[in-house]
Amino acid sequence: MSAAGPPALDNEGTRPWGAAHSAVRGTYKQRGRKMSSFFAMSGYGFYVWSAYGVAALALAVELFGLRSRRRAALAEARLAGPDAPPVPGAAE
Amino acid sequence: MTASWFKFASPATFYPLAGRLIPWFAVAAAVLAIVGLYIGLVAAPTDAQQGDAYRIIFIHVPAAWMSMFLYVVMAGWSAAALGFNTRLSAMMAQAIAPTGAVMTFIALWTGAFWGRPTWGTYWAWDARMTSELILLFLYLGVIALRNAIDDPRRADRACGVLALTGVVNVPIIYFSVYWWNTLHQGSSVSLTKAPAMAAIMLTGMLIMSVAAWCYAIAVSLARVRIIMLERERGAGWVATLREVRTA
Repeated sequence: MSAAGPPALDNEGTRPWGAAHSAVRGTYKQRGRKMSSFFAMSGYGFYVWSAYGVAALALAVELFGLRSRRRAALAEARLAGPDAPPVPGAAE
Repeated sequence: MTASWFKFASPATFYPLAGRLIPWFAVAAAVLAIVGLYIGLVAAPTDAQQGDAYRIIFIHVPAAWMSMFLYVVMAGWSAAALGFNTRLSAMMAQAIAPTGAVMTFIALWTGAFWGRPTWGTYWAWDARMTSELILLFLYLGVIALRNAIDDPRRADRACGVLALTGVVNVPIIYFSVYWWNTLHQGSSVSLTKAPAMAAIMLTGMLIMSVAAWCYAIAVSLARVRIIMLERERGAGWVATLREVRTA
């Protein structure tokens, strides 16, 4: 990767991915881009996708846990009913 | 302090209000995340020095901001619960802790996978990273303390005191990069000076931050509703809820 000067303009994915080149328009295919260069992340794919993947997984685990907890709480509330003794500290 | 101020401090009135708010924040979080991820992963150019490794910033910084901010909010609700003895305040503090822990975990994890390609190490015991790790332990401590005490009102007080004690860690995290010589860099974005990053990168990061906000609000409201069901089951207002009456 060149740190200085204009970005390289070959078709092998070395050009900054998705860089806003006003002169270059069209679909990725027309520009000779490959989806694989997106996933490669200029060689940092392992780090970028490990970060994004596990972050997404963490949110998925939280949301899934929330859903099961809600189901359990609703089931408990149905069992409790209005005549059941109140939970300690709850409203009368 | 008027009576209307405390109107929504009652779980019976806050439960339906939260239920109406959740879809708005959830949809906003999803839409903003899609836009932010498109900007971050597709539209923003590759960094001249870090290559594409820098793209981790779009989740790392929003998660780290949220991890600190949620702790302050949790401590604020804890203080309100201890001061006013309002049930809803303690429930809000209880609802925020798991989301805060998730955000802290994401900040630490993404930081490790950003540190390896840029600094050459996944982890260092520098002040920023260590204090952020302590933040994770504080969240987990509040959750564990809650689970260890059977009486919810006693748990409220104990967790409130722990949360308030731990809030001293938040300014330590924030200022650690200035107070100590850390491997972690200083902030690129602050309130006092112009951001040291390209406009499109900043835009993507701020959109992802707002998405994280909306996500945290939606999830915390969803969780506080569950906590109300758990703690107030048997109360009249829970029994009359449609989702309780219909199996």
